[in-house]
Amino acid sequence: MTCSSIMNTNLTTVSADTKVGATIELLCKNHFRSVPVVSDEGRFLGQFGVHTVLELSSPMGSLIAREGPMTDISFMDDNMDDLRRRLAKVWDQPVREHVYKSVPSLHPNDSLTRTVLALAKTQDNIAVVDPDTRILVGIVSYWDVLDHLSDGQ
Amino acid sequence: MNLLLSMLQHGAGAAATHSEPHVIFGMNPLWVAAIVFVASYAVIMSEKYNRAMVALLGGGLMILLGVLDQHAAINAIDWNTLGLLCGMMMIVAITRRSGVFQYLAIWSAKKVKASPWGILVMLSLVTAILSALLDNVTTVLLIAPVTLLITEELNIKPYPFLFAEIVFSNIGGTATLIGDPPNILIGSLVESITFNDFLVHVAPVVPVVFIATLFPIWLIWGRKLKATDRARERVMRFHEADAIKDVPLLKKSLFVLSLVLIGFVAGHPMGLEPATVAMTGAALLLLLDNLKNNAEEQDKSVHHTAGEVEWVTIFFFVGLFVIVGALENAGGLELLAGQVLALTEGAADATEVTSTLAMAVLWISAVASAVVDNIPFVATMIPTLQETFEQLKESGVGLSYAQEHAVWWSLSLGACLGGNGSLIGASANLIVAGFAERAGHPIRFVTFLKTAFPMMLMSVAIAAVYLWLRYL
Repeated sequence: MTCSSIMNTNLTTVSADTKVGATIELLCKNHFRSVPVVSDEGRFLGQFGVHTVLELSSPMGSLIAREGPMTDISFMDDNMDDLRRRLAKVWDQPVREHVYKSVPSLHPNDSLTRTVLALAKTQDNIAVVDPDTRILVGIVSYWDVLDHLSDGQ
Repeated sequence: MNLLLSMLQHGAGAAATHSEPHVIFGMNPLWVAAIVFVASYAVIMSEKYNRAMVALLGGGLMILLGVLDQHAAINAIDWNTLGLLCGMMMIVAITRRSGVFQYLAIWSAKKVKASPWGILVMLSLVTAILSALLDNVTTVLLIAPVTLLITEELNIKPYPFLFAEIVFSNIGGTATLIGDPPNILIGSLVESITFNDFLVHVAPVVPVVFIATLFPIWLIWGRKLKATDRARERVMRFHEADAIKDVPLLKKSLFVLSLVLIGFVAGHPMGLEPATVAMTGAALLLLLDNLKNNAEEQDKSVHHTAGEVEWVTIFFFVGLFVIVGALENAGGLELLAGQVLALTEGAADATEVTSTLAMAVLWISAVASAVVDNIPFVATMIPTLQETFEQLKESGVGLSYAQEHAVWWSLSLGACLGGNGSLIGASANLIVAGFAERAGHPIRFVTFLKTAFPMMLMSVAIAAVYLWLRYL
């Protein structure tokens, strides 16, 4: 059994030119944790998700949240207006500028073991891409795996 | 060309200072040493390969090819430099966990009511002082992120602030033996120079350079820096007290740091080298930090702290010492010293020789440090100058200690201040540039060079006047 047998091919994606604001609205409307970002040719570019939104609304978000020696900035006293103000700065920018590229991806022929372990490690949906063209062909989520697991019980 | 001719004339005859070289296939040890030396330095300067990897390979080749044996190679390593670096790195690694760096940055920003120019001056001052007392790389590593936060809240471009922090970290580091790697090398390799000598002879010019450098920064950026009252209010809402994460650790760190600084100042008359002081201080702070931990927690904590030592830098120094030691063993430094000596041709007496040497070393070091890594440059210059002094003695124009020291201060001021000449001039510059890039405000090489190089020349000119008035 391979990754392709459990992946979801009914995809919701956004193009690289979609605005950040529109993408956030899509996440909110569908309660998605993240959404794949693709090029005009359908190539997988990365993910844009709730974590990215939280980072963009926090002070120097991406820098402090992901790396660097200063991970604790509790000396700042933000209110909701401060968070909205930071997000407003990027609201009309294309999502390509904030796409998270360092995400794992799977190939359709990857084994089920590899797929399950990757999901356990990432704790998020994983894009399934064609190894030659990088075209997005599906998504695997832990819900897909749970559905398959519970069917057999 | 003169150097090549001298190499041909000297050949193996000059190559028996410490251990007799037995170079494979009977090749000329001086040529082999020179080729490995130049090749290693060229690859290090190209920055295409990790510098520690290249230096260690160069050092290993010197031994494998028989330019010097392992015993001589180990003797060539200056353990005082390595001990001082390791000790200070561990002390700083523990101290920074307390949050004191962020506290100082926020406190200083609020002291000037969050006015942009005031913040720039205060952060520059904090950067310079911490760079002198600890080291400039750690200082910018911790001050630059706070700067990005503050400028984001003020809604102004961070470039002038980051530029100032780069420049003042190198200027502040110039003031003490422990502030900048070139000074650590000079203080460790030149036996007659102490921590206090740097305070008495180099530090006095640093405040002058600091103030003089602030002026063009004000002219270019400072007078135009503006922030709205609302933005300044956001910075004033920062709680600096919340930046302190561990009050007991802060107290222990400040206690040990004070002891270490006292040790540097008072230790030399008692025969205590800086490495002994720094390593003992690091061990004491480790102990104080782990008093309440069980054995397993202690293992984890000590392992974590030891992991924060910049081992790449330490191994880089090890490789460099072996490469330079091999060149010295093969007689190469004798030839380089001859070239340095040629600069003083025509000088009538020791005073004129000192003046010529000091000015040449100052300006050459400054320009060289702006273009290439100043650590290998200084590591080679120190034994070369020591050999030059020997040759001067043999030729009957021996310099006094004070005159020799004037040349060492020129090397220190040139190499440290020269680091401001370009974005690749010092490690601190690259660290700030890295942060700026990741925060979406990249610092361009040429943009930086256009402002920084003239400022560097101005600071070296001030240093030249200082040296001239005081020693020459």
